[in-house]
Amino acid sequence: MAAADEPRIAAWCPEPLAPGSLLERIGTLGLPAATLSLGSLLTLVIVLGAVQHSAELRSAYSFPVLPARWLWLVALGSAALAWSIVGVASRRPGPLWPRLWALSLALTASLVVVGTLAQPLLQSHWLPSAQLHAVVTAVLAAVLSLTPRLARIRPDSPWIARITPLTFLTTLLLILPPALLGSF
Amino acid sequence: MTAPPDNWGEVIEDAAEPWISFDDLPSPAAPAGTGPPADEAQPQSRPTAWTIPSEDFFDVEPEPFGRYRKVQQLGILGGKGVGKSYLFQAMVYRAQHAQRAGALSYFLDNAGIELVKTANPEERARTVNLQRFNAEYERWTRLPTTLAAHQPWYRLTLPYHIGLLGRSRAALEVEFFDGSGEQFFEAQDPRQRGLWAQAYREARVLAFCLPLWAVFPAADLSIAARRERDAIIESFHDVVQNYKDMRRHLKLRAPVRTILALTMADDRRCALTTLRDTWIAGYLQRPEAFLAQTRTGRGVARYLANARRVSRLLLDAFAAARSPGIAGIPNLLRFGACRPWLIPVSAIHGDALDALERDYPNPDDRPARLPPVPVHVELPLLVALCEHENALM
Ligand SMILES: Nc1nc2c(ncn2[C@@H]2O[C@H](COP(=O)(O)OP(=O)(O)O)[C@@H](O)[C@H]2O)c(=O)[nH]1
Ligand SMILES: [Mg+2]
Repeated sequence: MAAADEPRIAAWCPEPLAPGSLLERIGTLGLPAATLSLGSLLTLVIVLGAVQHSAELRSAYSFPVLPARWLWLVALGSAALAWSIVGVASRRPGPLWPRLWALSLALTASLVVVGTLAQPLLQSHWLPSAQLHAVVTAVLAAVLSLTPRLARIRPDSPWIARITPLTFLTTLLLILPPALLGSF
Repeated sequence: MTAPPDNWGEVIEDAAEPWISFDDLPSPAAPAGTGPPADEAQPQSRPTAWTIPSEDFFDVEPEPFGRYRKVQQLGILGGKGVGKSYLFQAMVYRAQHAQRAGALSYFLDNAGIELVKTANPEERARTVNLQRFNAEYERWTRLPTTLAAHQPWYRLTLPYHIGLLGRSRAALEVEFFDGSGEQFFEAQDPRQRGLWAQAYREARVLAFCLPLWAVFPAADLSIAARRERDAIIESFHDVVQNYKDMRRHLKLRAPVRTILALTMADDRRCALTTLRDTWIAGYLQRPEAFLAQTRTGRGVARYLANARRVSRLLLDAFAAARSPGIAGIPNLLRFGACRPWLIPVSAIHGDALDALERDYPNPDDRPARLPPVPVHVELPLLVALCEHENALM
């Protein structure tokens, strides 16, 4: 009895490349590998801009929560995480620029580790403490917002469209308020 | 053996002109140091470096197919005449050139895919000429039914870039066994158990094929079609049962990602006309626009979002089916992982194929025609790629 099995036929069904709602358009600007990289770059710029936007912050910003002598540990953690992302992501197929971003971020994070270790010894003018603290904060935020690349997402997952906006907002919320409040 | 008759590839060394000797280079078939077999060695007076090591020099793998390095196995399962062979054929056709590979374009390297085939996994595989493999399909000649006496094994190699700067190459290797629907997939025959284990024990991605029209038939189905439909649904349950039995006997616990490939989604016997007019026709009628857009990450992301939505709509439609044998199908296909991904695919436009065969019984009389457009067949390969490499992240 074919007729009895007939489903309530969906009156609507998408075209293969239908753009969807505004939120979905934002979520599907690219695949997570690329959009997370873009989000990470934006996070770096935004955090750096925020913690250095006033003259007051430029002279007296310090990394929140942890005492300054542990700053190198934060930098080291960021670098380790960044290199693990490079290691994992370089074995995947895909275009060039997410690879380049992961590599540049890991190299930057490593330089920052050297900076944090060298800074107490040097006390020089070219590495003022406030700027170093700002860079450590921004690199940490950028690495955190790239970290979901370590997760596994399958092609039928709803997270493909959600992961990047969610990561971007979460990282900013996690980093910016303590960074801005803690430094006064 | 003396020098080859036409002397091709032969290097004659002249002391006056110290050219590089080919002896210095490792030859791919005879690794450095082993040298050519004694009976093929050249006389010492005329040292030539390039001898043909054996008749298997060309397009034959060094190791037997089944004992190859670890590969991703993509199982394509289904009863008789549900479109398994067509699906694989269409996948190979879609993937042949990276720029025209749909959702795979974004990942694949332009070097081109490779396909090897063997009749028996204990034997060595031979490289398949892709042009020849695709020729019949491209000319709209119907593929023959797979018989038990000739069930080939294929391995499809899809190359892509990896590395810090994307300069190295790696490849996804997908193994596929083209079994006979009647004598292998549906048969409850203990003699087939070995073959079942060989083909699907390691498979982590399975595509179960079921014609969409058989699940959601139009109300005006002919009596013959209705009978065919009942047989298709019954045999589908046989296939799933056989796979489940294999898992139980071999105590397989590893989760398996399943796809329910709803084949023949272009078929007019299907009740889901909206789906055919949007999800299928949107690709079938404008393939160039589709292929151009899915070369970008944004295109692939949108495509996957819509594919997921279609899958959800179909899950609802399954759930609303009155027959428990239909409504339960998505849950039947859970093997330690989440529910299957439902993908309506079309390997070839069935109406056009039927009309051509009717109007021109002799294939040689047919007028020139654009090649068929395989629709959504790349998605199972993308699932295999993501299962293997987590490619989206
Ligand atoms: N309309 C339509 N018919 C198809 C499609 N794929 C296969 N068929 C039909 O199904 C028949 C059997 O397909 P085949 O791949 O040989 O089935 P198998 O036994 O599962 O390997 C073909 O001869 C076609 O008539 C498709 O995508 N659309
Ligand atoms: Mg077949």
